[in-house]
Amino acid sequence: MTTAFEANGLGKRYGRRWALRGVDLAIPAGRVVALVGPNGAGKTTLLETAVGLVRPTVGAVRLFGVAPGPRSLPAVGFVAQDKPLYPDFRVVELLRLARRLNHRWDESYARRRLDALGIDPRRRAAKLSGGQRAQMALTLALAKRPRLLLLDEPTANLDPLARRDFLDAVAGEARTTGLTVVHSSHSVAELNRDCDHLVVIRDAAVVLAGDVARVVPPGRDLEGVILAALGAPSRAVAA
Amino acid sequence: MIWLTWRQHRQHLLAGLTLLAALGAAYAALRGGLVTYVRDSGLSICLAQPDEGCGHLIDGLREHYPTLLDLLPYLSLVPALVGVFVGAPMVPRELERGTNRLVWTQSVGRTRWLLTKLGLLGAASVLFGLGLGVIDRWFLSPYVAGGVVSPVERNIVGLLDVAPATYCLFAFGLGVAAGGLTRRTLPAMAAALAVFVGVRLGWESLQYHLFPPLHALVDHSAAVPVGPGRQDWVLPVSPFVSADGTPIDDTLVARWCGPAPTKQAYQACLVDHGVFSATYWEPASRFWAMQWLDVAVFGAAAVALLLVGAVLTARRRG
Repeated sequence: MTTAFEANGLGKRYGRRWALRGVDLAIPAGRVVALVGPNGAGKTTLLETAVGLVRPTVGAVRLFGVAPGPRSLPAVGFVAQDKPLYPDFRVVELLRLARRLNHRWDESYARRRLDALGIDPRRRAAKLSGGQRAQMALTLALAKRPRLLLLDEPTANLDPLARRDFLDAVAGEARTTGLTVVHSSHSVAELNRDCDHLVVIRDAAVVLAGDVARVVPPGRDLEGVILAALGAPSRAVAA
Repeated sequence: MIWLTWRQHRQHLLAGLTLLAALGAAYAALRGGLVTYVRDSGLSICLAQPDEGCGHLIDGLREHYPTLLDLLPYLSLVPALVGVFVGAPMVPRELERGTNRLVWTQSVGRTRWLLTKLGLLGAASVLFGLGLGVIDRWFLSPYVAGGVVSPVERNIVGLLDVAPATYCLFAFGLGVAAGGLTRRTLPAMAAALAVFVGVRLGWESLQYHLFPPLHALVDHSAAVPVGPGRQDWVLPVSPFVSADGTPIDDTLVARWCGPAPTKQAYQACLVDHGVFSATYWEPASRFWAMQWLDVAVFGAAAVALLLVGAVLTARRRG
Protein backbone atom coordinates (compact mmCIF):
# COMPACT_ATOMS: atom_id res chain seq x y z
CA MET A 1 0.00 0.00 0.00
CA THR A 2 1.27 3.51 -0.85
CA THR A 3 2.07 5.86 1.97
CA ALA A 4 0.70 9.32 1.18
CA PHE A 5 2.18 11.18 4.12
CA GLU A 6 5.22 10.03 6.01
CA ALA A 7 7.13 11.76 8.81
CA ASN A 8 10.28 10.39 10.42
CA GLY A 9 11.67 11.89 13.63
CA LEU A 10 10.24 15.22 12.49
CA GLY A 11 10.93 18.23 14.70
CA LYS A 12 10.74 22.00 14.32
CA ARG A 13 12.13 24.44 16.85
CA TYR A 14 11.47 28.20 16.93
CA GLY A 15 14.07 29.71 19.22
CA ARG A 16 13.90 27.58 22.36
CA ARG A 17 10.37 26.33 21.81
CA TRP A 18 9.66 23.11 19.93
CA ALA A 19 6.59 23.53 17.72
CA LEU A 20 6.86 19.90 16.69
CA ARG A 21 9.02 17.18 18.17
CA GLY A 22 9.73 13.53 17.47
CA VAL A 23 6.85 13.07 15.06
CA ASP A 24 6.61 9.70 13.30
CA LEU A 25 3.63 9.23 11.03
CA ALA A 26 2.64 7.02 8.13
CA ILE A 27 -0.72 7.78 6.56
CA PRO A 28 -1.81 5.33 3.86
CA ALA A 29 -3.11 6.72 0.58
CA GLY A 30 -6.86 7.06 0.24
CA ARG A 31 -7.60 7.96 3.83
CA VAL A 32 -9.59 10.94 5.04
CA VAL A 33 -7.60 12.04 8.07
CA ALA A 34 -8.82 14.18 10.94
CA LEU A 35 -5.81 15.98 12.40
CA VAL A 36 -7.01 17.20 15.79
CA GLY A 37 -5.35 19.19 18.55
CA PRO A 38 -5.68 22.40 20.52
CA ASN A 39 -4.47 25.73 19.13
CA GLY A 40 -0.69 25.89 19.10
CA ALA A 41 -0.28 22.12 19.29
CA GLY A 42 1.68 22.02 16.01
CA LYS A 43 -0.95 21.19 13.37
CA THR A 44 -0.09 24.13 11.12
CA THR A 45 3.63 23.49 11.50
CA LEU A 46 3.12 19.85 10.49
CA LEU A 47 1.10 20.75 7.38
CA GLU A 48 3.40 23.61 6.37
CA THR A 49 6.43 21.36 6.71
CA ALA A 50 4.79 18.99 4.26
CA VAL A 51 4.47 21.70 1.58
CA GLY A 52 7.93 23.16 2.14
CA LEU A 53 6.82 26.42 3.75
CA VAL A 54 8.56 25.36 6.97
CA ARG A 55 11.96 23.67 7.00
CA PRO A 56 12.23 20.99 9.66
CA THR A 57 14.91 21.40 12.33
CA VAL A 58 15.35 17.62 12.47
CA GLY A 59 13.86 14.67 10.61
CA ALA A 60 11.99 14.68 7.31
CA VAL A 61 8.58 14.57 5.66
CA ARG A 62 7.86 12.66 2.48
CA LEU A 63 4.70 12.78 0.40
CA PHE A 64 4.34 9.66 -1.74
CA GLY A 65 8.03 9.10 -1.08
CA VAL A 66 9.11 12.55 -2.32
CA ALA A 67 10.66 15.29 -0.18
CA PRO A 68 8.86 18.69 -0.11
CA GLY A 69 9.67 20.93 -3.07
CA PRO A 70 8.82 21.44 -6.72
CA ARG A 71 8.88 17.67 -7.27
CA SER A 72 6.24 16.92 -4.65
CA LEU A 73 4.09 20.06 -4.95
CA PRO A 74 2.20 19.03 -8.13
CA ALA A 75 0.69 16.14 -6.15
CA VAL A 76 -0.50 18.34 -3.27
CA GLY A 77 -3.47 20.64 -2.95
CA PHE A 78 -2.95 22.93 0.03
CA VAL A 79 -5.57 25.19 1.58
CA ALA A 80 -3.67 27.33 4.07
CA GLN A 81 -5.13 28.65 7.28
CA ASP A 82 -7.42 31.68 6.71
CA LYS A 83 -7.60 30.77 3.00
CA PRO A 84 -5.21 33.47 1.70
CA LEU A 85 -6.18 34.92 -1.71
CA TYR A 86 -4.90 38.08 -3.43
CA PRO A 87 -7.68 40.50 -2.42
CA ASP A 88 -7.46 42.62 -5.58
CA PHE A 89 -7.56 39.62 -7.95
CA ARG A 90 -10.81 38.68 -9.64
CA VAL A 91 -11.93 35.05 -9.48
CA VAL A 92 -10.87 34.53 -13.13
CA GLU A 93 -7.46 35.96 -12.31
CA LEU A 94 -7.02 33.54 -9.42
CA LEU A 95 -7.85 30.70 -11.82
CA ARG A 96 -5.36 32.09 -14.30
CA LEU A 97 -2.69 32.31 -11.58
CA ALA A 98 -3.20 28.65 -10.69
CA ARG A 99 -3.30 27.65 -14.37
CA ARG A 100 0.01 29.41 -15.01
CA LEU A 101 1.70 28.01 -11.91
CA ASN A 102 0.68 24.36 -12.28
CA HIS A 103 1.57 22.03 -15.13
CA ARG A 104 -1.53 19.96 -14.42
CA TRP A 105 -4.66 22.05 -14.17
CA ASP A 106 -8.27 21.18 -14.88
CA GLU A 107 -9.79 24.47 -16.00
CA SER A 108 -13.17 23.08 -17.00
CA TYR A 109 -13.51 21.36 -13.63
CA ALA A 110 -12.73 24.63 -11.83
CA ARG A 111 -15.21 26.57 -13.99
CA ARG A 112 -17.97 23.99 -13.52
CA ARG A 113 -17.40 23.93 -9.79
CA LEU A 114 -17.52 27.73 -9.39
CA ASP A 115 -20.55 27.90 -11.67
CA ALA A 116 -22.39 25.31 -9.56
CA LEU A 117 -21.53 27.30 -6.45
CA GLY A 118 -22.81 30.50 -8.03
CA ILE A 119 -19.47 32.32 -7.65
CA ASP A 120 -19.23 35.16 -10.17
CA PRO A 121 -15.91 34.91 -12.07
CA ARG A 122 -15.74 38.73 -12.30
CA ARG A 123 -15.92 39.18 -8.53
CA ARG A 124 -12.84 40.33 -6.65
CA ALA A 125 -11.51 38.00 -3.96
CA ALA A 126 -11.94 40.70 -1.29
CA LYS A 127 -15.70 40.75 -2.04
CA LEU A 128 -16.26 37.01 -1.59
CA SER A 129 -18.21 35.82 1.46
CA GLY A 130 -16.46 33.57 3.99
CA GLY A 131 -18.07 30.46 2.51
CA GLN A 132 -17.27 31.49 -1.07
CA ARG A 133 -13.70 32.25 -0.07
CA ALA A 134 -13.29 28.76 1.39
CA GLN A 135 -14.83 27.20 -1.72
CA MET A 136 -12.61 29.31 -3.96
CA ALA A 137 -9.48 28.15 -2.10
CA LEU A 138 -10.73 24.55 -2.28
CA THR A 139 -11.36 24.91 -6.03
CA LEU A 140 -7.80 26.16 -6.59
CA ALA A 141 -6.46 23.19 -4.63
CA LEU A 142 -8.68 20.56 -6.31
CA ALA A 143 -8.28 21.72 -9.92
CA LYS A 144 -4.59 20.87 -9.58
CA ARG A 145 -5.91 17.31 -9.52
CA PRO A 146 -3.76 16.47 -6.49
CA ARG A 147 -3.35 13.06 -4.90
CA LEU A 148 -3.20 14.60 -1.44
CA LEU A 149 -5.34 17.45 -0.12
CA LEU A 150 -4.09 19.30 2.97
CA LEU A 151 -6.66 21.51 4.67
CA ASP A 152 -5.54 23.74 7.55
CA GLU A 153 -8.60 24.62 9.66
CA PRO A 154 -10.67 25.27 6.53
CA THR A 155 -14.02 25.46 8.33
CA ALA A 156 -12.96 27.90 11.05
CA ASN A 157 -15.12 31.06 10.95
CA LEU A 158 -17.65 29.47 8.58
CA ASP A 159 -21.34 29.46 9.39
CA PRO A 160 -22.86 25.98 9.87
CA LEU A 161 -24.39 25.86 6.40
CA ALA A 162 -21.18 26.86 4.61
CA ARG A 163 -19.25 24.41 6.82
CA ARG A 164 -21.52 21.55 5.82
CA ASP A 165 -21.29 22.44 2.12
CA PHE A 166 -17.51 22.53 2.38
CA LEU A 167 -17.23 19.17 4.18
CA ASP A 168 -19.69 17.57 1.73
CA ALA A 169 -17.60 18.79 -1.20
CA VAL A 170 -14.41 17.35 0.30
CA ALA A 171 -16.11 14.05 1.17
CA GLY A 172 -17.59 13.77 -2.32
CA GLU A 173 -14.22 14.39 -3.92
CA ALA A 174 -12.51 11.83 -1.68
CA ARG A 175 -15.18 9.23 -2.45
CA THR A 176 -15.12 9.64 -6.21
CA THR A 177 -11.39 10.14 -6.84
CA GLY A 178 -9.61 8.23 -4.06
CA LEU A 179 -7.99 11.49 -2.93
CA THR A 180 -6.13 11.40 0.39
CA VAL A 181 -7.31 14.21 2.68
CA VAL A 182 -5.69 15.60 5.82
CA HIS A 183 -8.05 18.01 7.55
CA SER A 184 -6.91 19.83 10.66
CA SER A 185 -9.23 21.23 13.30
CA HIS A 186 -8.76 22.56 16.80
CA SER A 187 -12.04 21.37 18.26
CA VAL A 188 -14.13 18.23 18.16
CA ALA A 189 -17.09 20.38 17.10
CA GLU A 190 -15.18 21.19 13.88
CA LEU A 191 -14.17 17.59 13.39
CA ASN A 192 -14.55 16.08 9.96
CA ARG A 193 -17.20 13.36 10.56
CA ASP A 194 -16.30 11.60 7.34
CA CYS A 195 -12.81 10.76 8.55
CA ASP A 196 -11.59 7.17 8.62
CA HIS A 197 -8.17 7.92 10.10
CA LEU A 198 -7.28 9.93 13.18
CA VAL A 199 -4.15 11.86 14.19
CA VAL A 200 -4.27 13.57 17.57
CA ILE A 201 -1.55 16.07 18.36
CA ARG A 202 -0.79 17.72 21.70
CA ASP A 203 2.12 19.85 22.91
CA ALA A 204 4.08 19.42 19.67
CA ALA A 205 3.81 15.62 19.69
CA VAL A 206 1.50 13.03 18.12
CA VAL A 207 -0.35 11.26 20.94
CA LEU A 208 -2.65 9.05 18.88
CA ALA A 209 -2.63 7.96 15.24
CA GLY A 210 -4.40 5.20 13.36
CA ASP A 211 -7.47 4.11 11.42
CA VAL A 212 -10.68 5.01 13.19
CA ALA A 213 -11.83 1.41 13.00
CA ARG A 214 -8.75 0.39 14.98
CA VAL A 215 -8.31 3.26 17.51
CA VAL A 216 -11.97 3.62 18.42
CA PRO A 217 -13.08 0.48 20.26
CA PRO A 218 -16.67 -0.74 19.83
CA GLY A 219 -18.99 1.15 22.12
CA ARG A 220 -16.79 4.26 22.33
CA ASP A 221 -17.36 7.37 20.27
CA LEU A 222 -14.77 9.34 18.33
CA GLU A 223 -14.99 12.43 20.55
CA GLY A 224 -14.47 10.38 23.68
CA VAL A 225 -11.34 8.77 22.24
CA ILE A 226 -9.91 12.13 21.16
CA LEU A 227 -10.59 13.76 24.52
CA ALA A 228 -9.05 10.81 26.32
CA ALA A 229 -5.95 11.04 24.11
CA LEU A 230 -5.62 14.72 24.97
CA GLY A 231 -5.65 13.88 28.70
CA ALA A 232 -7.70 16.13 30.92
CA PRO A 233 -10.59 17.44 28.81
CA SER A 234 -9.18 20.61 27.35
CA ARG A 235 -11.78 23.36 27.09
CA ALA A 236 -10.39 24.51 23.74
CA VAL A 237 -10.84 21.07 22.31
CA ALA A 238 -14.17 20.29 23.91
CA ALA A 239 -15.69 23.58 22.80
CA MET B 1 4.91 33.28 -13.49
CA ILE B 2 5.47 35.96 -16.13
CA TRP B 3 1.76 36.69 -16.18
CA LEU B 4 1.62 36.85 -12.36
CA THR B 5 4.58 39.26 -12.26
CA TRP B 6 2.85 41.46 -14.82
CA ARG B 7 -0.48 41.29 -12.95
CA GLN B 8 1.08 42.22 -9.61
CA HIS B 9 3.44 44.91 -10.89
CA ARG B 10 1.61 46.50 -13.81
CA GLN B 11 0.81 49.52 -11.64
CA HIS B 12 4.53 49.95 -10.95
CA LEU B 13 5.25 49.80 -14.67
CA LEU B 14 2.56 52.38 -15.32
CA ALA B 15 3.91 54.65 -12.56
CA GLY B 16 7.45 54.36 -13.94
CA LEU B 17 6.39 55.17 -17.50
CA THR B 18 4.26 58.07 -16.24
CA LEU B 19 7.21 59.47 -14.33
CA LEU B 20 9.49 59.24 -17.38
CA ALA B 21 6.81 60.84 -19.57
CA ALA B 22 6.22 63.66 -17.07
CA LEU B 23 9.95 64.32 -16.80
CA GLY B 24 10.28 64.27 -20.58
CA ALA B 25 7.32 66.63 -21.01
CA ALA B 26 8.65 69.07 -18.41
CA TYR B 27 12.09 69.04 -20.01
CA ALA B 28 10.65 69.45 -23.50
CA ALA B 29 8.71 72.53 -22.39
CA LEU B 30 11.80 74.08 -20.77
CA ARG B 31 14.21 72.97 -23.44
CA GLY B 32 12.29 74.68 -26.25
CA GLY B 33 13.40 78.15 -25.13
CA LEU B 34 16.90 76.89 -24.49
CA VAL B 35 17.35 75.46 -27.97
CA THR B 36 15.95 78.67 -29.50
CA TYR B 37 18.45 80.72 -27.49
CA VAL B 38 21.43 78.57 -28.50
CA ARG B 39 20.47 78.96 -32.17
CA ASP B 40 19.35 82.60 -32.28
CA SER B 41 22.04 84.12 -30.07
CA GLY B 42 24.79 82.74 -32.27
CA LEU B 43 26.09 80.55 -29.44
CA SER B 44 26.03 77.40 -31.54
CA ILE B 45 28.22 79.10 -34.19
CA CYS B 46 30.56 80.47 -31.51
CA LEU B 47 30.92 77.06 -29.86
CA ALA B 48 31.89 75.55 -33.21
CA GLN B 49 35.04 77.71 -33.19
CA PRO B 50 37.66 75.94 -31.09
CA ASP B 51 39.36 79.08 -29.74
CA GLU B 52 36.39 81.23 -28.88
CA GLY B 53 35.51 81.93 -25.25
CA CYS B 54 31.87 82.79 -26.03
CA GLY B 55 31.76 84.24 -22.49
CA HIS B 56 28.76 86.57 -22.57
CA LEU B 57 26.75 84.19 -24.76
CA ILE B 58 27.33 81.40 -22.22
CA ASP B 59 26.36 83.77 -19.41
CA GLY B 60 23.09 84.24 -21.28
CA LEU B 61 22.65 80.48 -21.33
CA ARG B 62 23.27 80.43 -17.59
CA GLU B 63 20.42 82.89 -17.20
CA HIS B 64 18.04 80.35 -18.66
CA TYR B 65 16.37 78.33 -15.90
CA PRO B 66 18.99 78.59 -13.17
CA THR B 67 16.40 77.45 -10.57
CA LEU B 68 15.75 74.30 -12.54
CA LEU B 69 19.44 73.44 -12.48
CA ASP B 70 19.31 73.77 -8.70
CA LEU B 71 16.73 70.99 -8.62
CA LEU B 72 18.96 68.54 -10.48
CA PRO B 73 20.59 67.05 -7.34
CA TYR B 74 17.19 65.71 -6.28
CA LEU B 75 16.89 63.77 -9.53
CA SER B 76 19.78 61.60 -8.34
CA LEU B 77 17.40 60.19 -5.70
CA VAL B 78 14.76 59.06 -8.23
CA PRO B 79 16.23 55.51 -8.41
CA ALA B 80 15.40 55.14 -4.70
CA LEU B 81 11.73 54.89 -5.74
CA VAL B 82 12.47 51.53 -7.38
CA GLY B 83 13.86 50.16 -4.13
CA VAL B 84 11.16 51.64 -1.92
CA PHE B 85 8.07 50.79 -3.97
CA VAL B 86 9.09 47.71 -5.97
CA GLY B 87 11.96 45.95 -4.19
CA ALA B 88 11.11 46.41 -0.53
CA PRO B 89 7.44 45.25 -0.57
CA MET B 90 8.03 42.31 -2.93
CA VAL B 91 8.33 39.61 -0.26
CA PRO B 92 6.98 41.25 2.96
CA ARG B 93 3.63 42.10 1.35
CA GLU B 94 3.13 38.40 0.54
CA LEU B 95 4.08 37.40 4.08
CA GLU B 96 1.78 40.00 5.66
CA ARG B 97 -1.23 38.89 3.62
CA GLY B 98 -0.32 35.21 3.90
CA THR B 99 -0.47 34.88 0.12
CA ASN B 100 3.03 33.37 0.09
CA ARG B 101 1.31 30.22 1.42
CA LEU B 102 -0.86 30.22 -1.69
CA VAL B 103 1.70 31.14 -4.31
CA TRP B 104 4.70 29.16 -2.98
CA THR B 105 2.69 25.94 -2.75
CA GLN B 106 1.75 25.82 -6.43
CA SER B 107 3.63 23.34 -8.60
CA VAL B 108 6.35 25.74 -9.77
CA GLY B 109 7.54 26.32 -6.21
CA ARG B 110 9.25 29.14 -4.38
CA THR B 111 12.57 29.17 -6.25
CA ARG B 112 10.96 29.70 -9.66
CA TRP B 113 8.76 32.41 -8.15
CA LEU B 114 11.83 34.19 -6.79
CA LEU B 115 13.97 33.87 -9.90
CA THR B 116 11.21 35.07 -12.22
CA LYS B 117 10.34 38.05 -10.05
CA LEU B 118 13.95 39.08 -9.48
CA GLY B 119 14.79 38.64 -13.17
CA LEU B 120 11.83 40.52 -14.62
CA LEU B 121 11.69 43.29 -12.03
CA GLY B 122 15.47 43.68 -12.11
CA ALA B 123 15.39 44.03 -15.90
CA ALA B 124 12.53 46.54 -15.64
CA SER B 125 14.54 48.55 -13.07
CA VAL B 126 17.50 48.70 -15.44
CA LEU B 127 15.28 49.85 -18.32
CA PHE B 128 13.70 52.53 -16.14
CA GLY B 129 17.20 53.73 -15.19
CA LEU B 130 18.29 53.80 -18.82
CA GLY B 131 15.22 55.89 -19.58
CA LEU B 132 16.21 58.36 -16.86
CA GLY B 133 19.79 58.49 -18.19
CA VAL B 134 18.68 59.14 -21.76
CA ILE B 135 16.14 61.82 -20.80
CA ASP B 136 18.55 63.65 -18.49
CA ARG B 137 21.33 63.51 -21.11
CA TRP B 138 18.95 64.88 -23.74
CA PHE B 139 17.78 67.71 -21.52
CA LEU B 140 21.25 68.71 -20.34
CA SER B 141 22.98 68.46 -23.71
CA PRO B 142 22.70 72.22 -24.55
CA TYR B 143 24.12 73.09 -21.11
CA VAL B 144 26.90 70.54 -21.49
CA ALA B 145 27.75 71.83 -24.98
CA GLY B 146 27.87 75.39 -23.66
CA GLY B 147 30.01 74.45 -20.69
CA VAL B 148 27.41 75.67 -18.15
CA VAL B 149 27.16 72.16 -16.81
CA SER B 150 30.02 69.72 -16.94
CA PRO B 151 29.27 66.04 -17.51
CA VAL B 152 31.72 65.15 -14.71
CA GLU B 153 30.21 67.60 -12.23
CA ARG B 154 28.99 66.43 -8.83
CA ASN B 155 25.21 65.74 -9.05
CA ILE B 156 25.46 65.47 -12.83
CA VAL B 157 27.72 62.54 -13.67
CA GLY B 158 25.31 60.14 -11.95
CA LEU B 159 22.31 61.44 -13.91
CA LEU B 160 23.64 60.75 -17.37
CA ASP B 161 23.73 57.72 -19.65
CA VAL B 162 24.24 54.33 -17.95
CA ALA B 163 24.84 55.37 -14.31
CA PRO B 164 21.12 55.70 -13.37
CA ALA B 165 20.46 52.16 -14.63
CA THR B 166 22.95 50.69 -12.18
CA TYR B 167 21.62 52.87 -9.36
CA CYS B 168 18.11 51.59 -10.09
CA LEU B 169 19.24 47.96 -10.03
CA PHE B 170 21.16 48.67 -6.83
CA ALA B 171 18.08 50.28 -5.25
CA PHE B 172 15.96 47.27 -6.28
CA GLY B 173 18.49 44.88 -4.70
CA LEU B 174 18.59 47.03 -1.59
CA GLY B 175 14.80 46.84 -1.31
CA VAL B 176 14.69 43.06 -1.79
CA ALA B 177 17.46 42.51 0.77
CA ALA B 178 15.75 44.86 3.25
CA GLY B 179 12.47 42.98 2.71
CA GLY B 180 14.21 39.66 3.30
CA LEU B 181 15.78 40.93 6.50
CA THR B 182 12.88 42.82 8.08
CA ARG B 183 10.02 40.77 6.60
CA ARG B 184 7.81 43.84 7.16
CA THR B 185 6.79 46.19 4.37
CA LEU B 186 7.14 49.58 6.05
CA PRO B 187 10.48 48.99 7.84
CA ALA B 188 11.86 47.54 4.60
CA MET B 189 10.76 50.61 2.63
CA ALA B 190 12.28 52.96 5.21
CA ALA B 191 15.54 51.02 5.35
CA ALA B 192 15.84 50.91 1.55
CA LEU B 193 15.31 54.68 1.33
CA ALA B 194 17.73 55.56 4.13
CA VAL B 195 20.53 53.30 2.91
CA PHE B 196 20.14 54.39 -0.70
CA VAL B 197 20.33 58.10 0.14
CA GLY B 198 23.33 57.54 2.41
CA VAL B 199 25.23 55.41 -0.09
CA ARG B 200 24.43 57.69 -3.01
CA LEU B 201 25.61 60.86 -1.26
CA GLY B 202 28.64 59.12 0.21
CA TRP B 203 29.61 57.78 -3.19
CA GLU B 204 29.52 61.28 -4.71
CA SER B 205 32.25 62.37 -2.31
CA LEU B 206 34.23 59.16 -2.68
CA GLN B 207 34.16 59.46 -6.48
CA TYR B 208 36.36 62.57 -6.44
CA HIS B 209 38.85 60.81 -4.18
CA LEU B 210 39.10 58.02 -6.73
CA PHE B 211 39.39 60.55 -9.53
CA PRO B 212 41.35 63.35 -7.80
CA PRO B 213 40.90 66.68 -9.59
CA LEU B 214 43.86 68.16 -11.45
CA HIS B 215 45.11 71.52 -10.26
CA ALA B 216 47.17 74.41 -11.53
CA LEU B 217 48.33 77.82 -10.33
CA VAL B 218 46.76 80.60 -12.30
CA ASP B 219 48.78 83.74 -12.89
CA HIS B 220 46.39 86.68 -12.79
CA SER B 221 48.22 88.42 -15.61
CA ALA B 222 46.80 85.92 -18.06
CA ALA B 223 43.60 87.10 -19.68
CA VAL B 224 42.09 83.65 -19.94
CA PRO B 225 42.92 81.24 -17.12
CA VAL B 226 45.04 78.35 -18.29
CA GLY B 227 44.09 74.82 -17.24
CA PRO B 228 40.55 73.49 -17.47
CA GLY B 229 38.83 73.15 -20.80
CA ARG B 230 35.29 74.32 -21.47
CA GLN B 231 33.56 71.04 -20.54
CA ASP B 232 35.75 70.23 -17.54
CA TRP B 233 34.28 70.77 -14.12
CA VAL B 234 36.05 73.54 -12.24
CA LEU B 235 35.57 72.90 -8.54
CA PRO B 236 34.06 75.86 -6.70
CA VAL B 237 37.22 76.50 -4.65
CA SER B 238 39.99 78.79 -5.80
CA PRO B 239 42.09 79.78 -2.81
CA PHE B 240 44.83 82.37 -3.10
CA VAL B 241 48.30 80.85 -3.01
CA SER B 242 51.86 82.02 -3.38
CA ALA B 243 54.11 80.86 -6.20
CA ASP B 244 55.17 77.77 -4.20
CA GLY B 245 51.56 76.79 -3.49
CA THR B 246 51.24 77.88 0.16
CA PRO B 247 47.83 79.40 0.90
CA ILE B 248 47.53 83.13 1.47
CA ASP B 249 44.81 84.37 3.78
CA ASP B 250 41.87 86.12 2.07
CA THR B 251 42.00 89.10 4.47
CA LEU B 252 45.65 89.70 3.62
CA VAL B 253 44.84 89.81 -0.08
CA ALA B 254 41.94 92.16 0.63
CA ARG B 255 44.27 94.50 2.57
CA TRP B 256 46.82 94.54 -0.27
CA CYS B 257 44.54 94.99 -3.21
CA GLY B 258 41.36 96.18 -1.43
CA PRO B 259 38.55 97.58 -3.52
CA ALA B 260 40.36 98.28 -6.77
CA PRO B 261 38.96 100.79 -9.29
CA THR B 262 38.99 98.29 -12.16
CA LYS B 263 39.33 94.56 -12.67
CA GLN B 264 42.60 95.17 -14.51
CA ALA B 265 43.99 97.18 -11.61
CA TYR B 266 43.00 94.46 -9.16
CA GLN B 267 44.69 91.75 -11.26
CA ALA B 268 47.82 93.90 -11.65
CA CYS B 269 47.93 94.31 -7.87
CA LEU B 270 47.69 90.55 -7.38
CA VAL B 271 50.56 90.00 -9.84
CA ASP B 272 52.65 92.62 -8.01
CA HIS B 273 52.15 90.85 -4.68
CA GLY B 274 52.93 87.46 -6.19
CA VAL B 275 49.39 86.15 -5.56
CA PHE B 276 48.24 83.19 -7.64
CA SER B 277 44.96 81.29 -7.65
CA ALA B 278 44.86 77.54 -7.38
CA THR B 279 42.35 76.02 -9.75
CA TYR B 280 41.07 72.49 -9.30
CA TRP B 281 39.22 70.77 -12.07
CA GLU B 282 37.88 67.40 -13.06
CA PRO B 283 38.58 66.73 -16.75
CA ALA B 284 35.52 65.86 -18.81
CA SER B 285 37.60 63.16 -20.50
CA ARG B 286 37.16 61.05 -17.35
CA PHE B 287 33.40 60.85 -17.85
CA TRP B 288 33.30 57.27 -19.15
CA ALA B 289 35.83 56.02 -16.62
CA MET B 290 33.57 57.40 -13.88
CA GLN B 291 30.46 55.90 -15.47
CA TRP B 292 31.98 52.44 -15.85
CA LEU B 293 33.26 52.50 -12.30
CA ASP B 294 29.64 53.23 -11.23
CA VAL B 295 28.46 50.28 -13.29
CA ALA B 296 31.07 47.95 -11.82
CA VAL B 297 30.66 48.99 -8.17
CA PHE B 298 26.88 49.32 -8.06
CA GLY B 299 26.28 46.41 -10.40
CA ALA B 300 28.32 44.12 -8.14
CA ALA B 301 26.60 45.50 -5.03
CA ALA B 302 23.19 44.96 -6.65
CA VAL B 303 23.98 41.33 -7.49
CA ALA B 304 25.23 40.71 -3.95
CA LEU B 305 22.11 42.29 -2.43
CA LEU B 306 19.76 40.34 -4.71
CA LEU B 307 21.53 37.17 -3.65
CA VAL B 308 21.16 38.05 0.03
CA GLY B 309 17.46 38.81 -0.48
CA ALA B 310 16.90 35.62 -2.45
CA VAL B 311 18.66 33.39 0.09
CA LEU B 312 16.81 34.98 3.01
CA THR B 313 13.49 34.47 1.22
CA ALA B 314 14.21 30.94 0.07
CA ARG B 315 15.62 29.63 3.34
CA ARG B 316 13.60 31.14 6.12
CA ARG B 317 10.19 30.15 7.36
CA GLY B 318 7.43 30.94 4.90
